[in-house]
Amino acid sequence: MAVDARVGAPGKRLEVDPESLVSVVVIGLNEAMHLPACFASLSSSRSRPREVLYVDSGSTDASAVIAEQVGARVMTLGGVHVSAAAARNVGLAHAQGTMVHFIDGDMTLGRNWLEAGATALSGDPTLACVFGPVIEVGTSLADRIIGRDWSNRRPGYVEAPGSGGTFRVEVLRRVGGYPEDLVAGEEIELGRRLRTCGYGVRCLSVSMGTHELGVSDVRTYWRRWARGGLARWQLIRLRPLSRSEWLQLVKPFVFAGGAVTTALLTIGPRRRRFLGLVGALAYVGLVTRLALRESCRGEDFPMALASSLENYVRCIPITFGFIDAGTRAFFRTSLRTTCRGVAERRGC
Amino acid sequence: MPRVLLACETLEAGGAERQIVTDAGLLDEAGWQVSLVSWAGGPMETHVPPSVRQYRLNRGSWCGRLSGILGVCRACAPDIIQSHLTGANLLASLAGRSLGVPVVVTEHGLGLWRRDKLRYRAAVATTYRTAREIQCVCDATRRAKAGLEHAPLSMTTVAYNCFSRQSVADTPSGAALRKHLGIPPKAFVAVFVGRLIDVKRPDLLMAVAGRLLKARDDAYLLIAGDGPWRECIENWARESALGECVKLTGIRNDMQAVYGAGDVLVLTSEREALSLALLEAGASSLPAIAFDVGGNAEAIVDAESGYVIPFGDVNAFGARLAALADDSGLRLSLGGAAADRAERLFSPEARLRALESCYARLLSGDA
Repeated sequence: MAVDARVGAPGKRLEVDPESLVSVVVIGLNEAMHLPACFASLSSSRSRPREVLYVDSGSTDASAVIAEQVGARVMTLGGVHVSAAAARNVGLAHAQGTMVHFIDGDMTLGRNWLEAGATALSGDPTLACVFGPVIEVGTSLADRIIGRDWSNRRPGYVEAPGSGGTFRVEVLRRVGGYPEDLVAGEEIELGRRLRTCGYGVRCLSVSMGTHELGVSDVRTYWRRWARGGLARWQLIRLRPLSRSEWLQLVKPFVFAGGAVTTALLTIGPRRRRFLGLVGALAYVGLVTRLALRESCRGEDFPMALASSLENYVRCIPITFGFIDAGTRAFFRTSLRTTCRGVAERRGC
Repeated sequence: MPRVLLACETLEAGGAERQIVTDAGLLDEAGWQVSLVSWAGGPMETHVPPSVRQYRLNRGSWCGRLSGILGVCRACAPDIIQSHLTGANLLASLAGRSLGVPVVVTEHGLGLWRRDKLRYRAAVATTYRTAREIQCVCDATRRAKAGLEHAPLSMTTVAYNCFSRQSVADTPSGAALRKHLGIPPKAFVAVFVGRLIDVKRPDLLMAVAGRLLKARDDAYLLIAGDGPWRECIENWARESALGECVKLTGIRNDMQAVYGAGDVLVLTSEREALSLALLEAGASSLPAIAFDVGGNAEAIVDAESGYVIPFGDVNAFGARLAALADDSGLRLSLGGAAADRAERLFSPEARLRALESCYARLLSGDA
């Protein structure tokens, strides 16, 4: 979807009444197990939403039927690999409220969120989106570590929304909704578009709800972050990046490349092992530094250390995902060119 | 008195474990000297007849378990070993081979979901090379094992699971359960029996039952089982305003009361070998509706003793359920046929005959 660059005027001040203002869009793919809890949290919210829409991205379970039975308006998307962004945009197109709150099927809504979100948005016309910390309820260590990214968000103005949030419908429609070309990291791109148009994004201190990540094994973990690498590739193809964006983008590749080089040097010829040891010490230093910084902010040190380590470990699947996406794109293009060449030579 | 050793991994409240306990009771009553060995116990331990000698290994490593099962074999000197489920099958067949005792391995599942795991495939291949006979609980299991796991067909036999006489419906206790749960005597009750886990597809159960319960005021869903989906079902019932019509009882020991309280059994599993719930419901004269997966079509003759629906067709499932809710005469006729079929094919006596003929064959060296 293209962005309308002429958008710029901040929105009007809104009256606070979530029951008439806020539409809730739930998106899901095979989330039948979590949907009832999600809808139960909407019902038990202090302020009821104006409407609840459920956008199903082609589930093979009974998610859509269950959502219908609990009273949601259901929209089902066909096709394979429908992105979360595309599903949210369908919900956005059908939302009747002046604000829309996006929530995933495996999340629940905080009891006070709708009221807090609507109040914050209506109180500041320059805000396009508000969101809040999300508590991770998954029990695995990876869930707890990765979940800290969302639960430890500090209140204030930020660059991009995270894990859904409440938006002004008008503004979101003007910027073209979520970028559907990205399989992950779409919220970062959306934040950029909103900022370009003069709107802000704010993280509130009110809990937005809970989430169950479901990273229970190495395969799921790898797939999750490899998707991040794919998203980086898609972002490069989407638009020209600024210098700071390039720096952000290549950072994980540098760390991953450094880690692989260090490992090779450490197990390689004896005379170069010293270099490997220096590299390993550098990584230990980086991890410890990050962990200490987190623990100074009041975090539990062992958890901060694990989180810091994970922060560097994830660079490897991200890099792999990026290289994989790039390689596939290259071969697809070259194959197409070769086929065209052969067809032309044969006079087809 | 011939001695048989039954080996299994756990005695949790699953279908295979219930069958093991039933087998122990049947063989014990038939005059066999039965011993039962498991790695870890479970709730079914209390259902094992007191005359059956029980051994629990409580060892974590596979080497420890193997030496444990060898020790048990030396202690009870079995003439034959019958094992159940993959881990026990492997160790029992190795122990039997080393001691020269014939081993019958019992396959309860379809094995499809684990076919890509190297360790599982190696275990299965070793088991099939060392065991004397592979006994499958239904023909679907036999086909799956032969097709996907290369079980030699010449060694493979079918001995159907059986229902337990203690689980057959009992009208007074069924009426008492209805009263306890607040279900009117004339109401229509669909029963689901099973663990509330992914493979049982509770989502499809909710989809099917939700339509019926919304359409009829006198319909109830009784769920006997527990698992990670329980909270989800409770939330769904509350949010769909069906809280009064959905009764979750958790795991129950009085299955005769559960079947006695029901009018029809619904089974929405995506994978089943031969479901004990289907057999017990049939023996209790309850018609059943299930998806056409695994051995369900062996337990139910479509339109004769229940309905078998193509997997995932929630509309057809719902239509059949509504038809049964509307027509008590149809329920009676299908239930009668189900009881006849269960008594003929899935009775404890039929199971005992199959087991004894298998043991006799192996002991005489014909296999």
